[in-house]
Amino acid sequence: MQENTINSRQFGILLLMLILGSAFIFVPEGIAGRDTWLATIIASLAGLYVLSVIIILQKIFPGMSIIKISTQVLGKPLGFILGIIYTWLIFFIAVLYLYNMTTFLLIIFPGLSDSLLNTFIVLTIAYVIYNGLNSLSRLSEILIWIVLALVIPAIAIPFFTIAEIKSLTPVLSNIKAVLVGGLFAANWPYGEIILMAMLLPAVNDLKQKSKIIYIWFFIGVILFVLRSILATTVLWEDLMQTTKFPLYEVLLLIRFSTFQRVELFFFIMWSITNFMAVLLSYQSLVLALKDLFSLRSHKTLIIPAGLAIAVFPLIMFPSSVEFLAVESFAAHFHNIIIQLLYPTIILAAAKIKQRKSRNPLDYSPEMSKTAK
Amino acid sequence: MFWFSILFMLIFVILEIKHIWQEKMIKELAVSLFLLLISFAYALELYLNTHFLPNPNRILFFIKPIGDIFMKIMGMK
Repeated sequence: MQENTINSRQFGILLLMLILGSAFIFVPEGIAGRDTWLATIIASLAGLYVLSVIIILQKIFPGMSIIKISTQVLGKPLGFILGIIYTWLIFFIAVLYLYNMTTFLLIIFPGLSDSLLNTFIVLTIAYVIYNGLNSLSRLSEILIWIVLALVIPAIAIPFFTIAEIKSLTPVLSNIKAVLVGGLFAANWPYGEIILMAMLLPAVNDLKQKSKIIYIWFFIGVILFVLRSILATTVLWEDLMQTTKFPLYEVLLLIRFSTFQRVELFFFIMWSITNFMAVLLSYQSLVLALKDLFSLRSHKTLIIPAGLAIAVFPLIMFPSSVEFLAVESFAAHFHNIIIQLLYPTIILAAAKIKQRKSRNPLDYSPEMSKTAK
Repeated sequence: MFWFSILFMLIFVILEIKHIWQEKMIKELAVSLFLLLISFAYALELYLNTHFLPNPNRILFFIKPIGDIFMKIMGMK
């Protein structure tokens, strides 16, 4: 096996880890109230769209990253400008993931400083990235079974003990809230799949086995729908909308007579998936910077990009009030525009270019060069 | 974060400078230095508790009016 190639199954696992790590503990679509589960389903269509577009692009341009594809189909200046916007988005997502992870860890370890946690997490991830994509995917192949073994009881135990199904009715009482919730979840976590476009060129069996990636994606969607149902039926809509980590609150409510602090048992699951989400965004950022500036190696960027990811959460979100202002009112609209438009523009340009190259009457200098 | 950023810089020097020098990777060095220096500047700002540099999340607020219009249309607060 080559050092920097992975297969579709490994990519699918990484994809599932990303979406679980991004938003499993949160309920970004909670604004939809009782119909949160419907908003989750609607939002998953955005994720499916982004995933399909990046896979189609990769099949047209095998082995090329989305940034290189954009410069090829849109020309260097426009491709570079869009590449900068895309790299900024990856950076912003990485900063958000690290902030979320640190905030959650500080609940469990309140005595630690956020600078120390940021540094510790980033340096650990830098070590994994130094070892190459293949090590990362093999690590995720091992960890996914631990995660699934914890996710299933994390959903099943509260569902059969403290959930009240009647809190889901009446269904579709506020369709506008469902659409807004769908938009929020379309950005976080589904739209964030766009950052996986940087890892797709490393998939060596994409043409034959891309279906496997969709299967892992749908496993993620099912888990998210169940999570939304659980959060609504246990916390009811008011509490679900006001708590920061709804699934954590759900698990706090589980009580066995001799077995206390059950939520800490599931802390392993959150640590692993959050860690993987930060890792994947960090890895994508390094690869995006490499392709954006046409560098020979990405390894020289690992530590500098890591420092940026570690410092900027403290600057961008100095308090949870600032974080809420950004995340609730600005980030969704900022991110979703880039997440949906960036791959769409590139795919449209690629299709136009493909059609032109099939046209025998095309005399553009570029086409004639290709013909020669 | 200031002292941690110095730690990051030391790690970069130990791991990468020799390799960059041998391979003459000027572009790689330029991009790395840009990232290190900008992060260091922000870390220094945090350490000194000053607010000279702009907060990058202000970029997001350019989009905020679109979000506000959307939320108004949807009748949400």
